[in-house]
Amino acid sequence: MSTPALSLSRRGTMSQFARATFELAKPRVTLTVLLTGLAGAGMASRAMPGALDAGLLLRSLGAIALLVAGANALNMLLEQDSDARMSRTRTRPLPTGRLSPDTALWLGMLWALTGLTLLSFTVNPLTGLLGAVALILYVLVYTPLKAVTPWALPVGAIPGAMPPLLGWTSVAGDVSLRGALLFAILFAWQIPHFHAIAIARRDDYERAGFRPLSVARGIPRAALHMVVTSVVLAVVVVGATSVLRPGAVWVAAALSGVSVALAAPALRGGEHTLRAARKTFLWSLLFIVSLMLVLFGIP
Amino acid sequence: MTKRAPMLRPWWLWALFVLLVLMIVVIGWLWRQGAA
Repeated sequence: MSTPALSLSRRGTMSQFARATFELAKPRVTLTVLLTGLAGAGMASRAMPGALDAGLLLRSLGAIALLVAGANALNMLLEQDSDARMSRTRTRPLPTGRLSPDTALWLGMLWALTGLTLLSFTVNPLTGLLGAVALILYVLVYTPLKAVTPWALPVGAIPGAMPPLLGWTSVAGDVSLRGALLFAILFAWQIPHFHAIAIARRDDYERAGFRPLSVARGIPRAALHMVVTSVVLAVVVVGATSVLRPGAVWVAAALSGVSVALAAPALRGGEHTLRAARKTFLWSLLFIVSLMLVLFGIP
Repeated sequence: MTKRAPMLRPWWLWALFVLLVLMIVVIGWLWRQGAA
């Protein structure tokens, strides 16, 4: 038998636990992933009308959400020490002690394996395989590598580019040239995007023990990479768009041109580099949303 | 600046995790082939 006061405090504890569990899944990251997955599924259904039904979309996005939530929880478990040293991540459930590492471990593994099972058995095995590759690369390769070498960036860009491809293969059943081009765009987009963040937040990254190029080799080197990979992104985006939606090549070229123009002043050094990195980061968000809409057929 | 990678401990639990991931993918594939 419980007193009202006790049951009230128990309810409070339960809701705190639920809130911490929700945060463990990185809901904003998961939502972004779902949107890009939706874009991939949408493009595939335009390419092959009739292949997408509401049930398939629901199963696919639900499974992808579980997989991503699990990967995020395991990432938070592995990065709890560095999270505690960064102002942006200090209030996460593990550094604040609101969840125990064991809870994060078991929930992360449970979510990831459940998501993967649903993808493999209720969507299709190819999507399950690609999801498994993304999960292993993100949790067991990219996350440990972040503290060791700048090469973590291109490795992490592989799982980062996977969500739209998962959406695509959920509907299409195979990768095909169009799915691969979608993957290539997202892969190429992440490189200058993350160089920009790592230049702007260099000190925070160093304090956390991470080694992006801006920490390992210095900001001028990272700036050079940001500019060169912005040019590479432009080439990839224009090339891919000429196949995916030939009518929109000029839009893709204009968007990419802005990316290069905003990144280029980073080569001048000093305050110019920091300003260019901040602009490149903000523009990259607008860029990818616009490009997805353009490729999706809007307008 | 010391390089520190996060610890994957206990290692056998993570090995088991990878094994389960591979199993799900392989069984999913075989199951779909059987169903087709």
